[in-house]
Amino acid sequence: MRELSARPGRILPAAENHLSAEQVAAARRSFLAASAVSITGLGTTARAQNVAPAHQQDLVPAWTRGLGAPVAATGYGAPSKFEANVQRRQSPGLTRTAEASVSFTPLQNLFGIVTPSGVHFERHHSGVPVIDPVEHRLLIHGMVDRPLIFTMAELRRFPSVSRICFIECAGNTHLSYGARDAPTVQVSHGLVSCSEWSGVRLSLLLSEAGVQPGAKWILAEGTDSGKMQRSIPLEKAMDDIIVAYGQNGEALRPEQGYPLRLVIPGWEGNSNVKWLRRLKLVDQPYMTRDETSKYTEPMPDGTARQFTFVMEAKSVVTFPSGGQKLAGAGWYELTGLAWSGRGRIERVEVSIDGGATWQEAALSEPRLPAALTRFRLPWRWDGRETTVQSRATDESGYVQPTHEALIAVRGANYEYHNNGIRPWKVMADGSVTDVPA
Amino acid sequence: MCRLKFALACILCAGLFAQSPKYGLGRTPTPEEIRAMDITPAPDGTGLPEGKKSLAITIVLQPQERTLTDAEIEGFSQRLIAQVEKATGGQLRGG
Repeated sequence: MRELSARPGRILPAAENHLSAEQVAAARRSFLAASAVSITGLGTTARAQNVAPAHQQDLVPAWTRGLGAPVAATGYGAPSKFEANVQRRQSPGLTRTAEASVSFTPLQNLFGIVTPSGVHFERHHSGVPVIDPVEHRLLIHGMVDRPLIFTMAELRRFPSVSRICFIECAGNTHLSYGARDAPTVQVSHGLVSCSEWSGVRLSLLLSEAGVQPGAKWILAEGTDSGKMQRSIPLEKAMDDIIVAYGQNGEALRPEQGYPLRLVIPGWEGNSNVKWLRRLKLVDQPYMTRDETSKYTEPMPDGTARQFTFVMEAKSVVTFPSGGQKLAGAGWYELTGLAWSGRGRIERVEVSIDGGATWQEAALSEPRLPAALTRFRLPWRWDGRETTVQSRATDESGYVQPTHEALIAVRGANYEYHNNGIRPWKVMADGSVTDVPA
Repeated sequence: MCRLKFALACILCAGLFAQSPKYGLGRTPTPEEIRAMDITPAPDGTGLPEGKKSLAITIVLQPQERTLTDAEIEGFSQRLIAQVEKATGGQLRGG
């Protein structure tokens, strides 16, 4: 057994995906030579090793010797310039246009459970429209006693609710990503984000319009040029759907549906229609493009799963995860995120020995239904090659399956709703890589 | 090798609780306002011209030998649309 360092474990921040081969090579060289380099997404070796920086020889750094920036130097604050590597990222080649595309949340960089609005994942079907909130309207019609049309100002006069919950794209952890992209947790799992959403309960608006007998579904439609549409069962609308105008304390970001969107706690992201302009009460699902040609899953027997709304329990280790590099043996906090569309996360088990044994991780509070839940496990890496992975159980008793168990049921062609266990391999040199499925 | 999917939407020939409003917010839309937005045909064809039906299909191209060029993909797409029009009289949906 290798002697363990008494020092705390050291981390080289993730070599973010999509660095060029030259940048990656340069980073490796600099790590080995213990010389400082400046590459976005990589800490310098000096920083990682906690040696006294050369510029601090008198122990009084420059920022202590004079005044800082004045208050309100910027009317709307931005992250420190030293956090410039925390970015949404696209996956080159994944889509044929930049408007009908996705960007991934940098899960490896985040703390707690709330996703900063600026790095909430994106999935747009026809780009981000610029919508004047004064001109925007929401129409409720169809099988109602009183069709109604609302302005944003009127919607904000209704009693409001706020709720922290995740939104996850049904295509998160899409099986074809791995073959095309750098294997990082950002690309493998970054189509999930968690925000505090504020707005009006849809059930309240529906009672104002008066739902007629026979109405069973709601056709929700966006005002983007693709007019994204989904059919949503009325039962869920009467339960907990929010017609949201707020995100993390401010108005929705344009990428998240400004000025109005649906938030459907625990259900696949695609049904959380953004830039919401219309809700039509109907007696049947309308079989729109995004619930027939897309967001359905071919099964081995030739049938297709359809209206698979609920996002089942899932978890992933975000540290250590693919592309990161441990700078040496010692203590680290292994951490990650778990979530379930069926309620609270009850338990997360972690294996640090390739699945031979599992131990229960600590769950940070708050632990909310249909919200990201942070799990943590103190971990002393012995410097040897190993595999780490996590397995979530939700309050319904559902246990996150292995990838093999999913394939056994759904066949090898399924793409959406992949919530299988995701291992990461830690190499003896500290680098962390994907484990091919 | 890339794997491509096509989505086509075309038109084919085809043979609770009544409540009072509490808050009084919003207004009654005009029929024109509803018509302008009510663009989606129902699965049974309601909302489409008489005797028409809407169908959306996905086609998967999975070349085994090399990645297709954009020109090849576009050509395939056009031939497919032409074939649908010829065989069924269907039209590509726009707007």
